[in-house]
Amino acid sequence: MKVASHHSTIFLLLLRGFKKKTMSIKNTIKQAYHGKLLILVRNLCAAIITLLVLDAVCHFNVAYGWVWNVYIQANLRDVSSLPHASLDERLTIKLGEDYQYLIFVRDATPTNAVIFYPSLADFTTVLPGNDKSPFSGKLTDKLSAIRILYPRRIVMEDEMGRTPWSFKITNVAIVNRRNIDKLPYQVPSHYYIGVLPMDSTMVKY
Amino acid sequence: MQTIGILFLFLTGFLLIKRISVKFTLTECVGFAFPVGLGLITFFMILEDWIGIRLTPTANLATTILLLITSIAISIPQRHALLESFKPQWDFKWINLVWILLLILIAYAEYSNFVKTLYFPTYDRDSMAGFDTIGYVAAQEHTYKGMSIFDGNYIPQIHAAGSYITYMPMVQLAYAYVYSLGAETSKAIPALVYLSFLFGFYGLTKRATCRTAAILATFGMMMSPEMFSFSSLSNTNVIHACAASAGILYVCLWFKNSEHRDLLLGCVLLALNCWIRTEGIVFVFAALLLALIRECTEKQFCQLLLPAAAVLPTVLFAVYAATNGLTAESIIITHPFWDPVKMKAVAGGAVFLLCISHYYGYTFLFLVITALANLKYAIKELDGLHVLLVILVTTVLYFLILYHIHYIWDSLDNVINYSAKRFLFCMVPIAWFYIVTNKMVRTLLEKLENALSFC
Repeated sequence: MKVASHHSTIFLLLLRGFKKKTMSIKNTIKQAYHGKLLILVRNLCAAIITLLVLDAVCHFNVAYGWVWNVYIQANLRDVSSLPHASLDERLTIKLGEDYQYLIFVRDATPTNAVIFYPSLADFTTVLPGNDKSPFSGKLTDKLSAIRILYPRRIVMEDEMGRTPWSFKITNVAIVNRRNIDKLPYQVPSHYYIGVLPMDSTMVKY
Repeated sequence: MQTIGILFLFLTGFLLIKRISVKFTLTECVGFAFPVGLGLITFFMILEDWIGIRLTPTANLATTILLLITSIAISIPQRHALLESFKPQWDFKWINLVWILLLILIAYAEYSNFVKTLYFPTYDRDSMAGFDTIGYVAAQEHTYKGMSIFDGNYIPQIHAAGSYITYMPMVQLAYAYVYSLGAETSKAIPALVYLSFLFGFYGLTKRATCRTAAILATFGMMMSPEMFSFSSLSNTNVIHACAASAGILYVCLWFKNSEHRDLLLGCVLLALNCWIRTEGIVFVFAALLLALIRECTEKQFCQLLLPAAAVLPTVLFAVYAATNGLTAESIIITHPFWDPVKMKAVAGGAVFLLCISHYYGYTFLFLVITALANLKYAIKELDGLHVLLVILVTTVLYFLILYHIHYIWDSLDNVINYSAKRFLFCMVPIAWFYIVTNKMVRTLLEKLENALSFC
């Protein structure tokens, strides 16, 4: 009997110890869970505060607002609207009629052409009866024209008579009917924009 | 071909940075590998052009392969340490939602910027009337010194004051490199340099503060409105800002931590900065000043040689230009003079640029606020003073250079409104580095990171 009661006491003690241990593990898990939950809540709060601050900054400062609402989104919109546009089409988006005109000159002249190139004043001249010139004058710089027309040579107005190339002009680029006087022949009155060869036998209107 | 060339340059730069020290983190190596590789190939291109080797696609690719083989060869002795350094360290105890959120915002903004940069060919005036066209013609004519657009018979004003003939050649040759390898546009260069820089800046800032602060600085730096929008263009300013700021920040890290590897990489990047734009020399002066302060206390004057060596690209190009007739009318006033009107205009322009939040956002406002907040530590422990000194010295020196220029090719107003505005891009990363690494903010952000940490 004595032995049996001794055994049951040990069993009870073990059970109590086991229960205690289970409780402490449960508590630890509970604490850890609450700890993690607390950190997650903290993280969510910090992330929300960060977003709110950034949003406020974008509203308060025009430049930051422009970066987020215009620059970043417009970039993606531009690209996704014409994903397979050719190089010329993409440049036309940015440079407009001026670039289209240069493509025309490029395609209408041989690669060894020496082209008399219009000035800013020529590009921006407003013809009688028009409100404005179709060109903005973005590509009047010689190097910009070289970039698009290469390997053709470019001669500007102020170089006439000063460089050896100015004596070798093969084509005259005409915008807003300017520089027609550089050609040694008569040009029809309806000819406003284009590129004409110096040699009248090669003219194709 | 273009992709292979770029990949080889990246690997060359990566191995060279690891050769300096295997301790550089992956983000730092990824960040600066491509710019270093690009600097190296353009340096060799100018040497080849000098001795008469034509810059054909074959020559360019052969040089790239030789550079890669050389960098592999010099990495062999430390191959075990190199391989060891690639072992991933999966330690994400610090991770938190703010870091993840900022990373997502950076990735989204950069994705949009990167796609735009690659989508649109060069269209900005400065690049079309300069860098991009020079690169394109060099690639077509297989020469730099003998290009048709450097010929006075074709471009009569080529030797006039302010001519593009005197520009440092790195960006133009980088464009020539990709054009010669068959690229339709040169935009891969600015797109990849800026993308690289985001990695590099995060990596180097992370060394001086916690990761959340580093990503906050990267985000703040990136969102600087004018710099961000310019990063998609082909002009040299943002590329220069990346090299100059990273170079001087590594020298700052060396100044604080005394790790020789930082001085070495800093000087490599400062040399790259001089190779991109002449005014980059002001950063070499700042680096020399830091080295001098440091060496005065340690009496090791040989360390001064490294920052001084960063001006070698400028010297080399000056000799190359002089020997090949690539010179223009000087615009520098070499004698001391006092012109109160000009000084007022230059100083007023500087103050205007630094104060206007449209260009750099709140960068300089935060810089001033954090510098004031950190005043206690700055006085007690000289904390962050070296970074502030760099910002001050380089800004003052740059505007002093503007004061010493004879404006015969352009107006002072134009130079302040356009050139100076873009030069200050260099200050944006340095300012954000200071904002998050000064003791006051660093401690606060470290506490925040610990509070948000899941482990």
